[in-house]
Amino acid sequence: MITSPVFDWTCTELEGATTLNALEARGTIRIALKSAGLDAAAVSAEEMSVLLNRVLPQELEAWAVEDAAHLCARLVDRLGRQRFEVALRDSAEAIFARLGSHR
Amino acid sequence: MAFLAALGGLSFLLICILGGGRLLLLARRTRKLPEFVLGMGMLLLGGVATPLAALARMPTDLPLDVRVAFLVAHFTIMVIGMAGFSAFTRQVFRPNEAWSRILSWALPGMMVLGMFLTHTTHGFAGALDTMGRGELLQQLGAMATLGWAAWESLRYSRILKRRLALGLVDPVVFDRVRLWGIAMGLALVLSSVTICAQLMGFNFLGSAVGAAFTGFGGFIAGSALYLAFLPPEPYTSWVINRFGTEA
Repeated sequence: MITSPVFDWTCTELEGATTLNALEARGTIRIALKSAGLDAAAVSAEEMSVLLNRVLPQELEAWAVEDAAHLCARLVDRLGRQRFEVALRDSAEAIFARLGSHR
Repeated sequence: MAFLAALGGLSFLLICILGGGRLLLLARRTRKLPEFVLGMGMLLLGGVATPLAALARMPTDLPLDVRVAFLVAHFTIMVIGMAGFSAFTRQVFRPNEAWSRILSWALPGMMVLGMFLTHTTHGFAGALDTMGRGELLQQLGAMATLGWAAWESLRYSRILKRRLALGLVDPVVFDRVRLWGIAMGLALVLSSVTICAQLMGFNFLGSAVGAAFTGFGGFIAGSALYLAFLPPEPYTSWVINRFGTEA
Protein backbone atom coordinates (compact mmCIF):
# COMPACT_ATOMS: atom_id res chain seq x y z
CA MET A 1 0.00 0.00 0.00
CA ILE A 2 1.35 3.44 -0.95
CA THR A 3 1.76 5.79 1.99
CA SER A 4 2.61 9.47 2.10
CA PRO A 5 6.22 10.50 2.90
CA VAL A 6 4.87 12.41 5.92
CA PHE A 7 3.36 9.21 7.29
CA ASP A 8 6.58 7.24 6.69
CA TRP A 9 8.72 9.94 8.30
CA THR A 10 6.50 10.14 11.40
CA CYS A 11 6.46 6.36 11.81
CA THR A 12 10.25 6.19 11.62
CA GLU A 13 10.65 9.02 14.13
CA LEU A 14 8.13 7.50 16.52
CA GLU A 15 9.83 4.12 16.33
CA GLY A 16 13.20 5.74 17.09
CA ALA A 17 11.88 7.81 19.99
CA THR A 18 9.93 5.06 21.78
CA THR A 19 10.13 1.36 22.54
CA LEU A 20 7.49 0.67 19.86
CA ASN A 21 8.63 -1.51 16.97
CA ALA A 22 7.96 -0.53 13.35
CA LEU A 23 4.70 -2.43 13.17
CA GLU A 24 3.40 -0.95 16.43
CA ALA A 25 4.43 2.59 15.47
CA ARG A 26 2.74 2.35 12.08
CA GLY A 27 -0.35 0.72 13.56
CA THR A 28 -0.67 3.38 16.27
CA ILE A 29 -0.41 6.21 13.77
CA ARG A 30 -2.84 4.48 11.43
CA ILE A 31 -5.41 4.21 14.26
CA ALA A 32 -4.94 7.90 15.09
CA LEU A 33 -5.30 8.81 11.40
CA LYS A 34 -8.49 6.79 11.07
CA SER A 35 -10.07 8.38 14.14
CA ALA A 36 -9.28 11.81 12.65
CA GLY A 37 -10.72 10.89 9.23
CA LEU A 38 -7.31 11.06 7.54
CA ASP A 39 -5.61 8.74 5.09
CA ALA A 40 -2.06 7.39 5.41
CA ALA A 41 -1.68 7.69 1.64
CA ALA A 42 -2.47 11.39 1.50
CA VAL A 43 -1.79 12.93 4.92
CA SER A 44 0.03 16.26 4.72
CA ALA A 45 2.56 17.73 7.15
CA GLU A 46 -0.05 20.23 8.43
CA GLU A 47 -2.57 17.48 9.07
CA MET A 48 0.05 15.30 10.75
CA SER A 49 0.97 18.22 13.03
CA VAL A 50 -2.64 18.51 14.19
CA LEU A 51 -2.77 14.75 14.68
CA LEU A 52 0.44 14.80 16.74
CA ASN A 53 -0.86 17.65 18.88
CA ARG A 54 -4.41 16.50 19.44
CA VAL A 55 -4.85 12.78 18.83
CA LEU A 56 -1.58 10.87 19.08
CA PRO A 57 -0.73 11.71 22.73
CA GLN A 58 -3.75 9.71 23.94
CA GLU A 59 -2.95 6.82 21.60
CA LEU A 60 0.65 6.70 22.87
CA GLU A 61 -0.47 6.82 26.48
CA ALA A 62 -2.42 3.66 25.77
CA TRP A 63 0.98 2.10 24.89
CA ALA A 64 2.38 3.41 28.21
CA VAL A 65 4.74 5.78 26.40
CA GLU A 66 6.07 8.23 28.97
CA ASP A 67 5.49 11.95 28.49
CA ALA A 68 3.65 11.35 25.22
CA ALA A 69 2.50 14.96 24.89
CA HIS A 70 6.06 16.26 25.14
CA LEU A 71 7.31 13.66 22.66
CA CYS A 72 4.58 14.62 20.18
CA ALA A 73 5.38 18.33 20.57
CA ARG A 74 9.03 17.54 19.74
CA LEU A 75 7.93 15.59 16.66
CA VAL A 76 5.74 18.50 15.52
CA ASP A 77 8.72 20.82 15.85
CA ARG A 78 10.97 18.49 13.82
CA LEU A 79 8.20 17.87 11.27
CA GLY A 80 7.91 21.60 10.66
CA ARG A 81 11.55 21.70 9.57
CA GLN A 82 11.20 18.87 7.05
CA ARG A 83 10.54 19.27 3.34
CA PHE A 84 8.38 16.65 1.64
CA GLU A 85 7.64 15.92 -1.98
CA VAL A 86 3.92 16.55 -2.38
CA ALA A 87 1.82 15.14 -5.19
CA LEU A 88 -0.28 17.91 -6.68
CA ARG A 89 -3.57 16.05 -6.79
CA ASP A 90 -6.92 17.78 -6.71
CA SER A 91 -8.41 16.51 -3.42
CA ALA A 92 -12.15 16.04 -2.94
CA GLU A 93 -12.13 18.96 -0.47
CA ALA A 94 -10.35 21.23 -2.95
CA ILE A 95 -12.84 20.32 -5.68
CA PHE A 96 -15.90 20.90 -3.47
CA ALA A 97 -14.39 24.16 -2.20
CA ARG A 98 -14.21 25.41 -5.80
CA LEU A 99 -17.75 24.30 -6.66
CA GLY A 100 -19.40 26.80 -4.34
CA SER A 101 -16.99 29.67 -4.74
CA HIS A 102 -18.26 32.88 -6.24
CA ARG A 103 -14.89 33.96 -7.58
CA MET B 1 -51.52 18.29 -5.37
CA ALA B 2 -50.63 18.71 -9.03
CA PHE B 3 -49.53 22.25 -8.21
CA LEU B 4 -47.30 20.97 -5.40
CA ALA B 5 -45.73 18.39 -7.70
CA ALA B 6 -45.16 21.00 -10.39
CA LEU B 7 -43.65 23.42 -7.88
CA GLY B 8 -41.26 20.79 -6.51
CA GLY B 9 -40.30 19.58 -9.97
CA LEU B 10 -39.82 23.06 -11.38
CA SER B 11 -37.71 24.24 -8.45
CA PHE B 12 -35.46 21.19 -8.89
CA LEU B 13 -35.12 21.83 -12.63
CA LEU B 14 -34.46 25.53 -12.14
CA ILE B 15 -31.70 24.86 -9.62
CA CYS B 16 -30.16 22.26 -11.97
CA ILE B 17 -30.12 24.83 -14.78
CA LEU B 18 -28.75 27.69 -12.67
CA GLY B 19 -26.28 25.55 -10.72
CA GLY B 20 -25.17 23.64 -13.81
CA GLY B 21 -24.68 26.83 -15.77
CA ARG B 22 -22.64 28.39 -12.98
CA LEU B 23 -20.43 25.28 -12.75
CA LEU B 24 -19.82 25.38 -16.50
CA LEU B 25 -18.77 29.02 -16.23
CA LEU B 26 -16.43 27.98 -13.42
CA ALA B 27 -15.03 25.18 -15.59
CA ARG B 28 -14.35 27.68 -18.38
CA ARG B 29 -12.14 29.63 -15.98
CA THR B 30 -10.44 26.74 -14.16
CA ARG B 31 -10.21 24.29 -17.09
CA LYS B 32 -10.84 21.48 -14.58
CA LEU B 33 -12.78 18.32 -15.35
CA PRO B 34 -14.91 17.87 -12.17
CA GLU B 35 -16.80 21.16 -12.49
CA PHE B 36 -17.21 20.62 -16.23
CA VAL B 37 -18.72 17.12 -16.00
CA LEU B 38 -20.92 18.01 -13.03
CA GLY B 39 -22.12 21.27 -14.57
CA MET B 40 -22.80 19.55 -17.87
CA GLY B 41 -24.66 16.73 -16.12
CA MET B 42 -26.87 19.07 -14.09
CA LEU B 43 -27.62 21.35 -17.02
CA LEU B 44 -28.40 18.52 -19.44
CA LEU B 45 -30.47 16.43 -17.02
CA GLY B 46 -32.42 19.32 -15.53
CA GLY B 47 -32.54 21.78 -18.38
CA VAL B 48 -32.86 19.53 -21.42
CA ALA B 49 -33.63 15.85 -20.69
CA THR B 50 -36.58 16.36 -18.34
CA PRO B 51 -38.44 18.92 -20.51
CA LEU B 52 -37.89 16.65 -23.54
CA ALA B 53 -39.37 13.69 -21.67
CA ALA B 54 -42.37 15.78 -20.65
CA LEU B 55 -42.91 16.95 -24.24
CA ALA B 56 -42.63 13.38 -25.55
CA ARG B 57 -44.88 11.74 -22.98
CA MET B 58 -47.52 14.36 -22.20
CA PRO B 59 -50.70 14.04 -24.23
CA THR B 60 -50.29 16.75 -26.86
CA ASP B 61 -51.21 17.30 -30.50
CA LEU B 62 -47.61 16.75 -31.55
CA PRO B 63 -47.18 14.18 -34.35
CA LEU B 64 -45.95 10.74 -33.25
CA ASP B 65 -42.67 11.12 -35.15
CA VAL B 66 -41.88 14.33 -33.28
CA ARG B 67 -42.74 12.78 -29.91
CA VAL B 68 -40.52 9.78 -30.69
CA ALA B 69 -37.69 12.14 -31.73
CA PHE B 70 -38.07 13.97 -28.42
CA LEU B 71 -37.96 10.67 -26.52
CA VAL B 72 -34.81 9.51 -28.34
CA ALA B 73 -33.20 12.89 -27.62
CA HIS B 74 -34.26 12.57 -23.96
CA PHE B 75 -32.71 9.09 -23.66
CA THR B 76 -29.49 10.23 -25.36
CA ILE B 77 -29.13 13.31 -23.19
CA MET B 78 -29.88 11.25 -20.08
CA VAL B 79 -26.94 8.98 -20.97
CA ILE B 80 -24.59 11.95 -21.48
CA GLY B 81 -25.75 13.68 -18.28
CA MET B 82 -25.47 10.54 -16.18
CA ALA B 83 -22.04 9.83 -17.71
CA GLY B 84 -21.08 13.28 -16.41
CA PHE B 85 -22.27 12.36 -12.90
CA SER B 86 -20.36 9.05 -13.02
CA ALA B 87 -17.22 10.80 -14.18
CA PHE B 88 -17.59 13.35 -11.37
CA THR B 89 -17.98 10.65 -8.70
CA ARG B 90 -14.93 8.79 -9.95
CA GLN B 91 -12.80 11.89 -10.40
CA VAL B 92 -13.59 13.28 -6.95
CA PHE B 93 -13.88 10.26 -4.68
CA ARG B 94 -12.12 7.34 -6.41
CA PRO B 95 -9.58 8.77 -8.84
CA ASN B 96 -7.03 5.98 -8.45
CA GLU B 97 -9.13 2.82 -8.23
CA ALA B 98 -9.34 0.68 -11.35
CA TRP B 99 -12.85 -0.54 -10.46
CA SER B 100 -14.21 3.00 -10.35
CA ARG B 101 -12.88 3.70 -13.85
CA ILE B 102 -14.65 0.58 -15.09
CA LEU B 103 -17.86 1.46 -13.22
CA SER B 104 -17.88 5.03 -14.52
CA TRP B 105 -17.94 3.65 -18.07
CA ALA B 106 -20.15 0.64 -17.33
CA LEU B 107 -23.08 2.66 -15.96
CA PRO B 108 -23.59 4.87 -19.03
CA GLY B 109 -22.79 1.79 -21.12
CA MET B 110 -25.70 0.01 -19.42
CA MET B 111 -27.96 2.91 -20.38
CA VAL B 112 -26.80 2.77 -24.01
CA LEU B 113 -27.50 -0.97 -24.00
CA GLY B 114 -30.96 -0.18 -22.65
CA MET B 115 -31.56 2.18 -25.59
CA PHE B 116 -30.44 -0.53 -27.98
CA LEU B 117 -32.82 -3.01 -26.33
CA THR B 118 -35.69 -0.53 -26.59
CA HIS B 119 -34.96 -0.07 -30.28
CA THR B 120 -34.81 -3.81 -30.97
CA THR B 121 -37.85 -4.83 -28.89
CA HIS B 122 -40.89 -2.56 -29.04
CA GLY B 123 -39.17 0.46 -30.61
CA PHE B 124 -39.04 3.99 -29.25
CA ALA B 125 -42.67 4.61 -30.18
CA GLY B 126 -43.63 1.77 -27.85
CA ALA B 127 -41.55 3.33 -25.07
CA LEU B 128 -43.76 6.43 -25.07
CA ASP B 129 -46.43 4.68 -23.00
CA THR B 130 -44.98 1.44 -21.64
CA MET B 131 -41.84 0.38 -19.85
CA GLY B 132 -40.04 -2.52 -21.43
CA ARG B 133 -36.77 -4.23 -20.56
CA GLY B 134 -34.77 -1.60 -22.44
CA GLU B 135 -36.21 1.35 -20.52
CA LEU B 136 -35.86 -0.59 -17.28
CA LEU B 137 -32.17 -1.17 -17.98
CA GLN B 138 -31.72 2.54 -18.69
CA GLN B 139 -33.47 3.46 -15.46
CA LEU B 140 -31.37 0.96 -13.50
CA GLY B 141 -28.22 2.53 -14.97
CA ALA B 142 -29.42 5.99 -13.96
CA MET B 143 -30.43 4.83 -10.47
CA ALA B 144 -27.08 3.10 -9.95
CA THR B 145 -25.33 6.32 -10.99
CA LEU B 146 -27.33 8.35 -8.47
CA GLY B 147 -26.82 5.68 -5.80
CA TRP B 148 -23.05 5.62 -6.33
CA ALA B 149 -22.89 9.42 -6.12
CA ALA B 150 -25.01 9.45 -2.94
CA TRP B 151 -23.06 6.63 -1.29
CA GLU B 152 -19.61 8.12 -2.00
CA SER B 153 -20.52 11.65 -0.95
CA LEU B 154 -22.35 10.64 2.25
CA ARG B 155 -19.50 8.25 3.15
CA TYR B 156 -16.98 11.01 2.54
CA SER B 157 -19.01 13.53 4.55
CA ARG B 158 -18.76 11.18 7.55
CA ILE B 159 -14.96 11.16 7.14
CA LEU B 160 -14.95 14.95 6.85
CA LYS B 161 -17.02 15.23 10.03
CA ARG B 162 -14.15 13.61 11.95
CA ARG B 163 -11.69 16.07 10.37
CA LEU B 164 -14.06 18.90 11.22
CA ALA B 165 -13.71 18.10 14.91
CA LEU B 166 -9.97 18.80 14.58
CA GLY B 167 -10.41 21.92 12.47
CA LEU B 168 -8.89 20.17 9.46
CA VAL B 169 -11.67 20.96 7.02
CA ASP B 170 -13.69 24.01 6.05
CA PRO B 171 -17.22 23.57 7.51
CA VAL B 172 -18.72 24.95 4.30
CA VAL B 173 -16.98 22.24 2.28
CA PHE B 174 -18.15 19.54 4.69
CA ASP B 175 -21.70 20.84 4.38
CA ARG B 176 -21.48 21.01 0.58
CA VAL B 177 -20.38 17.37 0.29
CA ARG B 178 -23.22 16.35 2.59
CA LEU B 179 -25.82 18.39 0.69
CA TRP B 180 -24.70 16.85 -2.61
CA GLY B 181 -25.09 13.39 -1.07
CA ILE B 182 -28.56 14.25 0.25
CA ALA B 183 -29.67 15.60 -3.14
CA MET B 184 -28.41 12.48 -4.93
CA GLY B 185 -29.97 10.19 -2.31
CA LEU B 186 -33.32 11.92 -2.66
CA ALA B 187 -33.14 11.77 -6.46
CA LEU B 188 -32.48 8.04 -6.13
CA VAL B 189 -35.43 7.50 -3.78
CA LEU B 190 -37.77 9.52 -5.99
CA SER B 191 -36.81 7.69 -9.17
CA SER B 192 -36.82 4.24 -7.46
CA VAL B 193 -40.32 4.72 -6.04
CA THR B 194 -41.65 6.05 -9.35
CA ILE B 195 -40.14 3.17 -11.34
CA CYS B 196 -41.35 0.53 -8.87
CA ALA B 197 -44.88 1.96 -8.98
CA GLN B 198 -44.76 2.07 -12.77
CA LEU B 199 -43.62 -1.58 -12.92
CA MET B 200 -46.58 -2.54 -10.73
CA GLY B 201 -48.89 -0.75 -13.13
CA PHE B 202 -49.71 2.07 -10.73
CA ASN B 203 -49.86 5.61 -12.10
CA PHE B 204 -47.86 7.00 -9.20
CA LEU B 205 -47.22 10.48 -10.61
CA GLY B 206 -50.89 10.85 -11.47
CA SER B 207 -52.02 10.06 -7.90
CA ALA B 208 -52.34 12.60 -5.08
CA VAL B 209 -49.83 10.70 -2.91
CA GLY B 210 -47.36 10.44 -5.78
CA ALA B 211 -47.68 14.11 -6.65
CA ALA B 212 -47.16 15.15 -3.02
CA PHE B 213 -44.23 12.76 -2.60
CA THR B 214 -42.40 13.79 -5.77
CA GLY B 215 -43.24 17.48 -5.28
CA PHE B 216 -41.94 17.55 -1.73
CA GLY B 217 -38.93 15.35 -2.55
CA GLY B 218 -38.07 17.46 -5.59
CA PHE B 219 -38.30 20.63 -3.54
CA ILE B 220 -36.00 19.27 -0.81
CA ALA B 221 -33.48 17.92 -3.37
CA GLY B 222 -33.56 21.24 -5.23
CA SER B 223 -33.05 23.14 -1.98
CA ALA B 224 -30.04 20.93 -1.14
CA LEU B 225 -28.50 21.65 -4.56
CA TYR B 226 -29.22 25.36 -4.18
CA LEU B 227 -27.54 25.52 -0.77
CA ALA B 228 -24.62 23.43 -2.05
CA PHE B 229 -23.80 25.28 -5.26
CA LEU B 230 -25.51 28.67 -4.99
CA PRO B 231 -25.31 29.28 -1.24
CA PRO B 232 -26.66 32.62 -0.01
CA GLU B 233 -24.37 34.49 2.38
CA PRO B 234 -26.59 34.08 5.49
CA TYR B 235 -26.64 30.31 5.00
CA THR B 236 -22.84 30.16 4.63
CA SER B 237 -22.46 32.22 7.83
CA TRP B 238 -24.87 29.91 9.63
CA VAL B 239 -22.88 26.82 8.52
CA ILE B 240 -19.62 28.37 9.69
CA ASN B 241 -21.14 29.23 13.08
CA ARG B 242 -22.88 25.88 13.42
CA PHE B 243 -20.06 23.54 12.39
CA GLY B 244 -17.04 25.79 12.85
CA THR B 245 -17.55 25.66 16.59
CA GLU B 246 -17.09 21.88 16.54
CA ALA B 247 -13.38 22.35 15.84
